[in-house]
Amino acid sequence: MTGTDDDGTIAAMSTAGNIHWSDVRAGFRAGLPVAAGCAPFGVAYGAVAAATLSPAQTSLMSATVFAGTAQFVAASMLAQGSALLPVLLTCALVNLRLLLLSAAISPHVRGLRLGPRLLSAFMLTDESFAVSVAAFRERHVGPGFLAGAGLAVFVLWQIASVVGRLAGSLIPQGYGLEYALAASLICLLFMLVRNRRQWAVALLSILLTLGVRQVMPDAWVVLVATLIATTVGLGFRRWQ
Amino acid sequence: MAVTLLILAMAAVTFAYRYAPLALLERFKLPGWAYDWLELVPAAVLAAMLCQAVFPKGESQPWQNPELLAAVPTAIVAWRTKSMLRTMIVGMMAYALLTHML
Repeated sequence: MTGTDDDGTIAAMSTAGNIHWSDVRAGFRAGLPVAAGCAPFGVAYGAVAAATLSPAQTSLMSATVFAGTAQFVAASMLAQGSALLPVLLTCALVNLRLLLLSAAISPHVRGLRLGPRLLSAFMLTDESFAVSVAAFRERHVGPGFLAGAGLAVFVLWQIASVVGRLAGSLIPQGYGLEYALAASLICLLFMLVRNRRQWAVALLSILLTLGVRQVMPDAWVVLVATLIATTVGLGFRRWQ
Repeated sequence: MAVTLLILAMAAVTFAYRYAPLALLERFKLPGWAYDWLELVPAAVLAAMLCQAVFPKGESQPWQNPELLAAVPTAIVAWRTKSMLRTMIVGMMAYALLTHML
């Protein structure tokens, strides 16, 4: 039984360097709705992973990488027959964004001991970040809030990937499953691309892909097209 | 086995990104253009992969292939609903139908 909010704050202050259970619980509760929102991504990831990853590998990636877009990109590239090194490099590129989130949230989780700090870092995702930053600013919650919100995302993410992996192996060939990848990519584009500048970069990336794949091994095409399209896109200021 | 190692390497890189700024004592800062550039990465990666998926390589008449034609109803559903489930169902049905017809 945890105490009131006041007790939680006092306890959090008296055990400096630790995360407090009441903050974790508050974070978990606040994180559940957004976690539910990203479950369909997890199902899509699992379905695409069914093409090349075993059930154990599908869950291993969800449990250790725990980053939606990168996992989806990796599973898709493997399904398209990519070599392994380009997958790793593209994943490293897609996840660079986490550096920014971590830097932005660091003032709020400062002073933690090693264990709680490692846990907080692992639980950092787009979703747990969004929920926690709002809570750190507006309410007096302790650093454990981030780990709690991340835990909610983590739990639903594992369930969603298993469900997707099962669905992927249950639908027999010839019922359009080979189109699951294309369809989920189209949906992700409409969900993640937010302004004209990003649409321009997406279009440029498609054209570059058509050109680059004439002169380069398939595995490197996505990475090269992405690097060129994003760099050129820096000049598209007016379309913001 | 190689794929399992790939997964663990991805996990190590991803965790390093999450942990490094928290572990550094100094305030961690990136130049402004880096934020700008990173904003554009997901759009470019997804679009490049979509291109590989809907324009199969070596296709002589890309405008008649079921991958590209099925993308039209799929994109309309994605745009109107923003629902992953509905988009995938419509996309897979359109593709199954088109491969039978063409």
